[in-house]
Amino acid sequence: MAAKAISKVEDMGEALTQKPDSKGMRAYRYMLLATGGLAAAIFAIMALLVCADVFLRNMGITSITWSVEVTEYMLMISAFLAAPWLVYTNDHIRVDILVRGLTGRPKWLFDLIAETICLAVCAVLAFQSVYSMLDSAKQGGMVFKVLIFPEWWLSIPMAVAFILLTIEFIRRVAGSLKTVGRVA
Amino acid sequence: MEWQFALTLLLGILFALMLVGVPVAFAFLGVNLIGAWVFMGGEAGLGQLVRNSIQSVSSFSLTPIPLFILMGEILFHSGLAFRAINAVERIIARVPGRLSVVSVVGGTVFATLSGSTIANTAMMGGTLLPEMLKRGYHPKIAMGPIMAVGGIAMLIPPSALAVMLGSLAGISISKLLIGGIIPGLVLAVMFLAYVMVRCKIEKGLAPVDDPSERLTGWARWKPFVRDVVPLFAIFVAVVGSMLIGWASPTESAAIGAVASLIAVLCYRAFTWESINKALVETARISVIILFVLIASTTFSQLLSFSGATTGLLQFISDYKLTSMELVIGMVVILLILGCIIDQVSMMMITLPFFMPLANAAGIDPIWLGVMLLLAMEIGLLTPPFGLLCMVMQSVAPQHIRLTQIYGSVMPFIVIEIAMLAMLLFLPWLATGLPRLMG
Repeated sequence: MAAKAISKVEDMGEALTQKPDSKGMRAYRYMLLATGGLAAAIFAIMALLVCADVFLRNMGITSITWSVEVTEYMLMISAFLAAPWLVYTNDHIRVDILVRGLTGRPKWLFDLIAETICLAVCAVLAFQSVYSMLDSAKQGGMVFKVLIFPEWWLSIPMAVAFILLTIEFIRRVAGSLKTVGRVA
Repeated sequence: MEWQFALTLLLGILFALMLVGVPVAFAFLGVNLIGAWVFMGGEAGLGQLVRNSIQSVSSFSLTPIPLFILMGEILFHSGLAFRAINAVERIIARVPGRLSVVSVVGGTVFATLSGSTIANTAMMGGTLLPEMLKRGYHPKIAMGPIMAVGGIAMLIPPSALAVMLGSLAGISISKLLIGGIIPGLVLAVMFLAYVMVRCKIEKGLAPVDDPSERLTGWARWKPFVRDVVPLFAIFVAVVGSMLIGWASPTESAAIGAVASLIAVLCYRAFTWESINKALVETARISVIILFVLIASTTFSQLLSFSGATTGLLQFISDYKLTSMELVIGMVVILLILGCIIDQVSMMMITLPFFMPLANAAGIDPIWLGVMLLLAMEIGLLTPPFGLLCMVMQSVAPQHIRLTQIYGSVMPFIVIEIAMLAMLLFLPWLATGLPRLMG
């Protein structure tokens, strides 16, 4: 079932940039596809949870007091965790009006510049988000809403996302550099 | 530091990054890093940037974005939307450019069931366009209405982008959603009128239908009654639950998504494959929007923190513009931005300026919100960065060129600008229904 779901994610992924050529690459690909699958599952659970809350509340049965808070976390988790998947499938929005018409070496150069900038941005944010998470854990702050838990837990999705994004952009920059001799 | 320097630095770096091909979200993150370092006190600013990013999407009011998209995707991938379009096709006869008319009517029907402009255009483009081209419709009258009506999904509830605008601008989401209904329907009527008049005048644009193919009586109406009428229960569930106070706009989105699933079950159209596809597409479109939101939240704060917002607002205030002039200015800015960037970025760049100006001038937020939505809807169509033109390119046959797609949508852009002008002088088109809500 999980494999089938992943293959569906992959089907919809369209422009995968590179075929996996090793076990490590395949595992990496499945991991990113699984993050997309996880986001999809979270949205399904979110719809059912909110609907159940509305139904139970209006029927006067009960109210799921934690549903709003959990829904907010679900939204945040899915937005961060699925972002690397969308980089892998080339789905993030790009304003390519300048580079659209380019081919050959100029296109390669612009792609490399864009990927390198993304890599630098993600690396800094990966470092900063891990640093903030550890700092928050050290301070020992707690979230006191309906649910009570350590505050640093909220930093985990962002840290994971930017670490994965950094890895993905390293892969892309390395891929571009490998093709330098082949670009006319 | 002078506000002009801050504004030029932030916007300059942002647009430069976007133009070299950095994805929009990462361009925002890049300028945020530089801006946080320069304007927010170095390392402390970077820490603030991380906290802002986490908080930006941890908001219940944003939940309808994936849920409204899910509604449309479920109906699209289960095949119910196709059945509805086929049913609409059967009842429309004896009109010039019949299939183009079907695309406008069908697209408007689907807009009441889907919160995604992309799903709307992809669905209509994938189903109707090949058939229209096969029957000899000229590409410009085949593609233009499909893209134009795709944008209507942004106005007519459910609308993911309306929810986002309401949430970011502090406008009542439910009133904004309801306010989009009449302008959306008027727009659909204007599209219909244009298609029929154009096909009547220019005979070569669309073939005349074969009268022998026309259905009559119950055979003609049965699919509509069976496949379309019950689907309106979904729209009623979404809007009705909001109006009677059973659910907030956020919660009504969840009701809509579950109602769509129930409809799929009732029509025995449920397959795991279609639900998988619907959920994955929902994740894809939603995360694209939400990640730009994560990346751009700090940008809005940087504009404020650096003094750029206050400086520019003061500069504009010195001109003592009337409300009307302000609104026209805002709309023109959005129309220009719509040619080069996406809708979420447009909101994040402009709302920090627009909303304080509008509040100070006493402009009705619902009226302004609907005007802004319509201006952004036009941005979905305007080249070179018209998102729906790109969606159309991805579903159109290979021989269709991008320039043909741009050409086909031009008359509809003119109609939408005319609608903007109507809204400008007849604000009740947007504010009438929300006022009834009290």
